[in-house]
Amino acid sequence: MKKHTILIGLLIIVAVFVLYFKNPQKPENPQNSSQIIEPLNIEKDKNSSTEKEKKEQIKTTSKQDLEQQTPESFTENNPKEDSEVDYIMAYRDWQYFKNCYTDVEDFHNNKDPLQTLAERFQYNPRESQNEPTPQQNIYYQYHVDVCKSLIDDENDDYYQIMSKLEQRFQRIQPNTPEAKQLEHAIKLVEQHHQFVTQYNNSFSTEFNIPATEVNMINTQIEQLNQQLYEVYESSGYLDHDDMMQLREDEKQQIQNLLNQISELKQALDESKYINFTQADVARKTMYGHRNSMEDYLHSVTSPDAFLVLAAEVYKIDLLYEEPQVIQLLKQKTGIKDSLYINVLNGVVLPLVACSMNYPCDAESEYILSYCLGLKDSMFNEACGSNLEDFYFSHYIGSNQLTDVYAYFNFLVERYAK
Amino acid sequence: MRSKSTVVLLLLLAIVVFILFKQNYQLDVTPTKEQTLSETENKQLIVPDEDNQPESKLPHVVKQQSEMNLDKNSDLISSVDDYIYDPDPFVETQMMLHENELCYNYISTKQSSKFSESLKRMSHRLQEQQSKFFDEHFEYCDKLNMQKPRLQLDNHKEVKERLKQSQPNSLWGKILSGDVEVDTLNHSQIKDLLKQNRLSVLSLAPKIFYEYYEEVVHWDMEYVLQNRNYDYVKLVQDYAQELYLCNLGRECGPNSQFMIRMCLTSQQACGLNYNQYIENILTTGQQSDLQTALQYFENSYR
Repeated sequence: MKKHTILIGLLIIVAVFVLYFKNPQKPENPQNSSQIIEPLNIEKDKNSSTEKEKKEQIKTTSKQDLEQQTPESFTENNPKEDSEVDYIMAYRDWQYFKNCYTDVEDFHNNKDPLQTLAERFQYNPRESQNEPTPQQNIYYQYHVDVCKSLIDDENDDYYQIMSKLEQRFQRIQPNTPEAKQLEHAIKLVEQHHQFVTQYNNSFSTEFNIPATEVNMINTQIEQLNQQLYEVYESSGYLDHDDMMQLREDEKQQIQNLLNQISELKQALDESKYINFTQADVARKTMYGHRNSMEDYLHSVTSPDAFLVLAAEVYKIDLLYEEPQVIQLLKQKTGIKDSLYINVLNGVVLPLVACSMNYPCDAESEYILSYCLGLKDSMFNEACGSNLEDFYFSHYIGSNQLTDVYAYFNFLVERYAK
Repeated sequence: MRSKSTVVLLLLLAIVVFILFKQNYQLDVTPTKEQTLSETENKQLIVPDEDNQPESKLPHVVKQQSEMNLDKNSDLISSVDDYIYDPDPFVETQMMLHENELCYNYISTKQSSKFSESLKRMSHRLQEQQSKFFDEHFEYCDKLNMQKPRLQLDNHKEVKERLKQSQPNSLWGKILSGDVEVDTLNHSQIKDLLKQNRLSVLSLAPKIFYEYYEEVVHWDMEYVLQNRNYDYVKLVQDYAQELYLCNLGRECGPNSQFMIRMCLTSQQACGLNYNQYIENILTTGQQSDLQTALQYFENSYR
């Protein structure tokens, strides 16, 4: 009996062992696990040497010590006068203010902005961190100061301030080649949107009969509807809502009127058509213009202009023919999934801009945005970092890296001087 | 005393064996027709070949045989069972509409001038392969309408009306109908529902439990993929969910709702089934992450 008990005991131990160590793939509690914020150590991956070499092609700045990195205090109080700001700075200020909506609300409500940041952390499903670090508080204060410096009248609401910043930007003349490129890029994109609208509108129906005839039919329909209403009203149908109470002659009259209305509507429908010749012209114009934007990208040295143009040129929309440059991208990089290309745009285009000296350091809009959760949620590792380091060490997964490199290299080879 | 301890030990052993068993087989599942079939008699390798396309090189997985995946020439109404997707009439109707959306729209409106106008508009915008695909897809809808009268593809209005009239008789049906509000369910209840591993639940779950998929599944997924690019993770998650459903028996051929969407996104996807799409369109990195994400769903739903 004792032997029997020992045997059962042993069996239980074995079973518990199997149960405990079985199926290790699923994280037990990733929400609370400290591992969830563990940096992606890409350099330790099996292809680390080649990956590292590739990374060097992209990086433009050296890695900085994140712990010590904090912004210099921002001391400006009011927006600079037109004469003090250049075209590109005015553009960036205007764009940056899109991050300041909450701050304007806080100014008006006399709320401590750091309290707003703390509240943002109270529910932070991505990470176990549920309050800002001192470094995040410092960066948030820096961001608040930047927002404040762009407000000239404290009574203005967010939209009024945005409008003033836009107007200030538009008043300034571009003087440098980069500024002129940005001006041209913005114009090209505006025109592109107009051509897209024209193309979409070109599919609306037209009539192949004179407008006077269309008006006449519409007037007849209106008159018949009026007569119909009068019959309903005089018969008492509107009060009782019961067709059974109508007299036979009233029913007949209503049916006649309905038939006449239906015939007229059918006549109108039959004279409708889609002007496909016009649609073809609109399509050619739209794609021609898109090609022009792509052509212009080859001569662009301004990172701001690059971002404005590339975001349109490399965006893939449903139900639009695939432009040649997208076909080429797919062919050269092996990235064939259109939805994925749209996802990669969000990462690769900023990286190309960084390589063109666009601000990507710890105080840049990109990094503040990740560090403080201005657009996405908060990433502690972004604070004090630069965009390239943050992306490659903490953000992009190892299986996505090859595609990021391939797309990045495609753009660099195509547009780099 | 000795016999008492033996009894206790035996009980403990039984509990452990039960738990071990439960990990492999879902016990508290209300078996769907598909599952009953698959688990008893119809286990077979996945065949992504509804149109005789070459077999996928991806690892084969056991596919649950469902009525939806029977020969396209078979008539569903001839089946001995009286449902296609789910025994709950509300869920059944909802699934009919969800899984055949484009065919319902096409067949119910194809006679009207408005439809021919919008069709002309659409085909003018599409690229050659896409346009060809849609011509064939509409032929497929007409054929499906003849072969599967139970779907009532030519009576969209009546099917929608039936949805309004149907009384749900399951928890899932009550959630879909709004009788049970999603907000009243906690995460554990949602998990239990998902663990029923039923096609009719999992097909609609990401939409119905949007917040759960955002607040729980997405962050888990970021962790398992070791990737914090939200949009990338979301895309892989959607692809993996679809692959899981395919393995569970969902229609994943070229005429499935998912592949139609992919064809509209990119003409290279037109005419492919989902396994071919994965092989031909996704990059190696995407495929690798997709398998990891699939593994996550296999652990979550079973």
